Amino acid sequence: MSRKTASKDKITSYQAFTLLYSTLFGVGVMTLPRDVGEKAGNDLVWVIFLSGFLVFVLVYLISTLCQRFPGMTFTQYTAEILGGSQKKWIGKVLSIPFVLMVVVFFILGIGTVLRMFGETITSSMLRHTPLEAIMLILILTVAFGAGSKLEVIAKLNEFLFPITLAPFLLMLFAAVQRGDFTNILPLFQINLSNIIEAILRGGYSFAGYLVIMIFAGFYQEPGKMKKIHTISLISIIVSYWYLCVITLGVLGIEEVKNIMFPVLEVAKSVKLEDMFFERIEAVILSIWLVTAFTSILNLYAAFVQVIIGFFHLSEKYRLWISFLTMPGLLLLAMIPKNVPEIGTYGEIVGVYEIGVSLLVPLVLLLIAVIRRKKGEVNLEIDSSSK
Amino acid sequence: MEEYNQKQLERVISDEVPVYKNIEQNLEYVKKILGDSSDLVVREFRIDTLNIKVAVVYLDELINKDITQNYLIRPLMKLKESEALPGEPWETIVNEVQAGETKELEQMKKAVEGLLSGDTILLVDDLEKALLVGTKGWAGKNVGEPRAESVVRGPTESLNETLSSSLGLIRHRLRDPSLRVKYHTIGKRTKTTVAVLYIEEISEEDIVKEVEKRIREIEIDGILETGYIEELIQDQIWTPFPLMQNTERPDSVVAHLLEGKVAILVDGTPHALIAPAVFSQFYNSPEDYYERYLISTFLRFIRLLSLFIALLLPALYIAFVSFHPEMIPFQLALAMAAGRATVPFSSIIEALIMEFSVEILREASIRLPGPIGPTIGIVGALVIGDAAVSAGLVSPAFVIVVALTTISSYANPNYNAAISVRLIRFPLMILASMFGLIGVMCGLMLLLLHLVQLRSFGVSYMSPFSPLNLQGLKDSLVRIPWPWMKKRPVIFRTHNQTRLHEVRKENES
Repeated sequence: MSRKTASKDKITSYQAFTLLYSTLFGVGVMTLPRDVGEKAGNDLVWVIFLSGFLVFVLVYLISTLCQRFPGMTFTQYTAEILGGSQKKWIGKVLSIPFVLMVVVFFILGIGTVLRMFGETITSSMLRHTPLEAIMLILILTVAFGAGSKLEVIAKLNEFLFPITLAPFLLMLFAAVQRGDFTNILPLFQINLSNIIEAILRGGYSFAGYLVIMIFAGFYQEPGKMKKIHTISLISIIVSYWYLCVITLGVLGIEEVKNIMFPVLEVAKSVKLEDMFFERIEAVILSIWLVTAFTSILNLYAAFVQVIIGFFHLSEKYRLWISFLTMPGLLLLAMIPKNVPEIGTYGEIVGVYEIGVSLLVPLVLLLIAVIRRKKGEVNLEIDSSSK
Repeated sequence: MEEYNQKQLERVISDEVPVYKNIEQNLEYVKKILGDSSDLVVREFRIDTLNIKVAVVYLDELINKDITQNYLIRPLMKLKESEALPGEPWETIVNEVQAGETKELEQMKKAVEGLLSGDTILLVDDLEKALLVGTKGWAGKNVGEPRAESVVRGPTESLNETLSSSLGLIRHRLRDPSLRVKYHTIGKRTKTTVAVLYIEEISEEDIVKEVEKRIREIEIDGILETGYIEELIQDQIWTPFPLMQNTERPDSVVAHLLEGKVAILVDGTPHALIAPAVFSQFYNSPEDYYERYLISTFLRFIRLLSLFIALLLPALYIAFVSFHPEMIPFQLALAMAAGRATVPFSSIIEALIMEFSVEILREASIRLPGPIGPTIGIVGALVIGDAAVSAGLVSPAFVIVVALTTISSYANPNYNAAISVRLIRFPLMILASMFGLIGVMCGLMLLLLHLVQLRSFGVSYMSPFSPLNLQGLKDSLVRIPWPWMKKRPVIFRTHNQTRLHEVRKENES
């Protein structure tokens, strides 16, 4: 006699903020200073803002497209933009390449983040447990979560958001105890070709923003979308900048370049001798686990939603799809042979995402403007997709 | 054969049998339905002044005999000529009955239902009507003290098994004309009275309607406790967490009613149900609102801490001992390793043995008769505490962990919420034994995911945290001073939001 009250509530603006924040934060936070630092050196400190601006342009583009079709999901408005008014199936068929491009990103994204996640854990916490076992339990947990409605995912993000803020305080301790901010100097040593590459590299660290294309269809206040996404992105840029400055200040650029997870290294160095934990690492790793978990979860949930939306499947298949796609994703994540190779794959995924999030919204927007397609303000539309 | 009788009986009851003109026929009908029960009392007599035959029917033990004998039978028997209204025997009889509640019946079904709930039926010959006289009065308990939810400061009255008495305790505290009490009769056989209480001006209509709709849909043969209703009307079956709160404190019921919630009282049990409920309210005690706000906030923090200890401490112990010994301080790790040196089991087996023995002790101590309980507690503590350690079967560190866990789970003011935490501890321990901290974190994530998707009558279980509601946070982890809580909690979609108008300014001296 289960009576699940039909969930009428949608993703609130605050939830949307946390969604974007958690998705981006979990992916890039560990490796960002090294990735950008390798190319930019000390200039990492300001290059990161340029990377942020690049991502901001992309996010703004996606938001513009989504805001044009309030309350419609990605698969719905793509078909709407491309299709004729009589023959709906034409739009459906024409939308396949666009949907495919987005789906491929999600698959690659989940794969790389998952593998990175597994590698971090094997190298720092569970040295004797096989990588496969760790990744299996992670993806099982994530797949189970991705089987729930997007509203639930948004709620989880919202609940976990305050927890992910805790490391910032800890990093402040690190800065006070061991920081030497002359490490940041000298600035402006970078040459022009390196700037471009550094900016792009920074762009990968913000990977994952494509999820908003999927989640935006479920927003409670689609009109506020651009504002919310902008605020969220600015928060991430500032958070990344803060972490980078402290990491640089504590370790210095040469060390940053050579350490796999510089942020973790800084967090580990915090000495809280009177506290229970000898090494604060456990706490940091647990919190990082939370952020990485929400990251993969959001990507996975978006991925499942695209499939559900494209094939017009009913809600009860959500968990099935989530579990059926899991083995494939796990196998994909096992392809890279070692950590540097994951880095290469990560770069490819990053470039790919920038390409997709430039191409797809731009083309769709252009066609929509030319064909004068516009979503109705009526918010009930998307009930057909559920 | 039995089945046949059953069907016959159901047919007889369900049919709209009218009150017959012939009194004998009516009595026969009652006897047939009640199967000639020994506690059925039929007193037939003739009112000479009216020259009419009447019969008084009631179930012994269910009625207040004083009323029936002195105010129903006696005045009718001693009816004086002068008091009789000529030609109107029914009116005369109704006038003579000196009871507060009387009802005219035309169907025998209603009469039988009345009989079963402790009313007396007066049958009159030659009239197609019967009189129901309210004489309910069975043996009940006096108002006692709440057993499970004791407080240091605050009223010590408890609801009790008699619905009317419980309602009295609530009405006494809440003299609000817009308090609504709706009776439902649930249970094909027990015919239990279930009362739904809410304040019309405050509660959200949809929630009240939903509660009443779900209650009306219940088709069960018997309701003996609010637990039956709780399970039959909850939003989701697959969850270890209680989706409704139960309380035996009338002050707590009133406080929840004032927050726009609905209370469900069942005749025959002292526990009232409160719906909808959110997670954080299970960690609040009524005392939080009676004590000063700083103390309450501190106590809430302690309860939150104890929740984490009860949920996580054994799992974390296992994770740290088996996977991450380098993360605990060196000296402590050394001490723990020394304690574990003689233990022949792996840490998960050690933990499971200990946890289960404590659970058994707990369960046994509830069942044991009063005087023996403490003795068993001491024996148990000796056996699993001291003896097991000296025998080298468990490590002393884990005895501390188990003790802390057990005590912590008792810090929760609500028993049913505490049990769910006790349950979830075990899967977390197993995950910890397999994947260390990662396992614990994955378990926690799944737990959170489950919690955020739960709903209780349309209200998110994790509100006010998710969805975030700043006003609701005022009374969640902290309890801010009353002068700052001017509005009712929004999460229960209350109307008439203001609950505090004038606030006295602090004396500026």
